[in-house]
Amino acid sequence: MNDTLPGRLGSLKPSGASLDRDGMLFAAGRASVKPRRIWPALAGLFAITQCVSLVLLLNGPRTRDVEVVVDSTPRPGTPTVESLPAPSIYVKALRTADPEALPPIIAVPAVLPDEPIWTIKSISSVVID
Amino acid sequence: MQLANLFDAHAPALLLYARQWGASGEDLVQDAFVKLAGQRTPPAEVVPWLYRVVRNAAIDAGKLQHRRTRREQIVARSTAWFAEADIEGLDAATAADALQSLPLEAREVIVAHLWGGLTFEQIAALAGTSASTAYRHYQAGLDRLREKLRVP
Repeated sequence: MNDTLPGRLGSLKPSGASLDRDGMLFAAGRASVKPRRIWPALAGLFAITQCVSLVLLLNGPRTRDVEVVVDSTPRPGTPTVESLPAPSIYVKALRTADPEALPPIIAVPAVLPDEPIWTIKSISSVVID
Repeated sequence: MQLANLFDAHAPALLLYARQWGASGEDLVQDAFVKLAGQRTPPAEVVPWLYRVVRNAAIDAGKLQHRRTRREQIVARSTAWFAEADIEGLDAATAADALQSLPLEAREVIVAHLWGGLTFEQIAALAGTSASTAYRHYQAGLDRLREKLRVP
């Protein structure tokens, strides 16, 4: 038995009956979890991009008239039907089996351009515009 | 379960400490432990840190309760401060009443030292005063309690 006042006071135990121990532990457990913000941020970013895409799609031109101009005039140097030798000459040469009798080969310039006319880029630009 | 052990060991004394400002301190004590659990790096001295958090919250809560009537404060304070009704010939209710009659500075030091186990240096850091001043408040408070309780 402690006769001094501090000793006797100290032997009195403070009441903790009104404290909610389980509630505190539950709340502390929730507070100790670090919130992961990466997934909500990513979802929000994707939602924004979807909205922007939708607005662009709805407000942009839906169709575009493309006028294709075909130049039908022959290029200079391009052989015409009239300038080609008659097929009978070839038949005759084949029958005589004399290659020397064939007319000289006329160099035909390339009709098609070196690069393709339609590319994915050009098609997509037309579709998007 | 370190937090649970800490709660069992210090929550009742922290509650008694919070009540010195007239606050019903259950929520304040619980919030202090929840705040401790949310700390990324635990404080160097956990117990004084808990007392500091409770003290700040109790002061704020005491300001909010300032408009309430004196009677309501007395009723709030009279909820049993101590677990036992009587120990070693000392009536707990009488001791609580005597404690309530002390100035706040003395009550704070006595509660923090006797039931919280804080040193006078820790209490001084808590209250923003010097250790000698804290000790002086402690002795003055004990002298007044001796007179009221008639205990040597």
